[in-house]
Formats: sequence, C-alpha cells, structure tokens
Amino acid sequence: MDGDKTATVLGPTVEIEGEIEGEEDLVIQGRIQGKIVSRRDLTVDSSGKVEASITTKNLAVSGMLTGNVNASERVEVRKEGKMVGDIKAPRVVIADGAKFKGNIEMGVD
Amino acid sequence: MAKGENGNGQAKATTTAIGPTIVIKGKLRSDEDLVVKGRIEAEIHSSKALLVENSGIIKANVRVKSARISGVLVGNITAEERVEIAPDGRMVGDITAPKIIINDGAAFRGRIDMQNFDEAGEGRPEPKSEPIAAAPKAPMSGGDQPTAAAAK
Repeated sequence: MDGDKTATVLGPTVEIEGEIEGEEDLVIQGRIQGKIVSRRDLTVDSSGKVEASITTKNLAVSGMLTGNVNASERVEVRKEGKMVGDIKAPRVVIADGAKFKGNIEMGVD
Repeated sequence: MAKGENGNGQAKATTTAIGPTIVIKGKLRSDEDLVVKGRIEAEIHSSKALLVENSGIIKANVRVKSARISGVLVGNITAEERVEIAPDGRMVGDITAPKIIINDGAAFRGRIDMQNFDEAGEGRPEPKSEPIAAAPKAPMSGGDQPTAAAAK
C-alpha cells in the first residue's frame, strides 16, 4: 500500500533478453538472459531459468541460475536450486540438496 | 505455447506486473498478460494483452494481442485484436490493429492502420472441396479385370 512492499513477479512465460534494473523485490519464474541489477530481494523460483550477471541485496535460488552474483547481504541456493557461477556476498547459504559449481567469496568489502 | 510447462501448482496468475521501479532493456517475450508500471526499453512480443499503466513507460516496438495504454508508449504497435489509448495515455508511433480506440483526452501522433480494410476486400479463398484423385482404390467392378476373368 505504501509502495514499500511492492514486488514484481515475472511469470513463467516471460522471457527477457537484456537488462533488468529495479528497486523492488523481483521474482523470476520465467527466463532471463543478460543482466539484473536490484537493490532489493531477488528470487529465482523453481520454474525460473536465469543466465545473467546479478547485482542485488539478497538472492534466493530455487530454479536454475548461471552467472556471477554480487550480493550486498546474502545469497541462498535452496535445496531445489542449481547454480553455476561465482558468488560474492558476506553471507552465503547452500542448502542440503542444492547444486552449485563456482567460487564463493565472503570477504569483507 | 509451452503452457503445460508450469506444472507446479503455483498461482495460475497469468499476469506479470512489472513494478514502478523496474527498468528492462533488451527483448521481452511472454505468453501472459503484462501490466507495466515501470519502464521498458525492450522489444515486446506477447501473445496476450499489454497494459501500460499511468506510471508505465515503454520505448520500443510492441507486438501483442491487445494493448491498452494509460501511460506512455513511444514505438510502433502491432496488435492482433485491438489497441486502446486511454484518456490519460500518450503515444508516439504507428499502430496496426483491426480495432483501434483513441479516447478523448489521449495524446497520439503517428499512423494508424486498421488492416480489416484489406481483409474485408480479399475474402477468404475457399478451399476446393476434394482433390480429383479421390478414387485410386476403385471398387472392383468385375468386367474391368481382364486377367482375373481370364483365369477362370
């Protein structure tokens, strides 16, 4: 109501090739190829397929993500999630069952 | 097209709403309704409806089933069904659609092509009912079979 908790859900049939930028939560159920820049939470749902370099605050992956992630807070690869790429974030969670290939850097900025 | 893909019992919501702070550049395809409150500089291809809300801005060419513009669209639209520019909508570009509505108050500059002029003129070519070669397996009418008859 106050525009604070708005979220954009990109539905399962949505395919984007290019760049997405936003200052609201973003949920991806479709396919994205390119680049995503978000200042809020980004979720790749189980039907989501993302091939992109990502800059965000929080990221949760339940779908398939290929690309490097730079998160200012936290990255979580959930149990049904698959990710290939490098993660740079102060907090990283890889759940039991998740698939991941890449480097992780939890360094201090 | 690949609608069955979405097997998980998640909301059947066939609408994607692109929020006011979102900016998309590039190319966008979808088979669900799109509501745009943000800014899209991406060619849009959708088999469903496009709704550009007040805060929405689209700068690109658009190909959809139908479109309603309450925000701003700069680019060409091709719609299968209809395009409507709401009283608060603004658009610069060409529209191609069988049905086009421009409401009082709307701002528009561009060309309009309501293709149904062509369609009405041409009429459908009627498919020819049956190809001629319909009887390769003709029923045997005894007399036509010299060999069979001779065998007796």
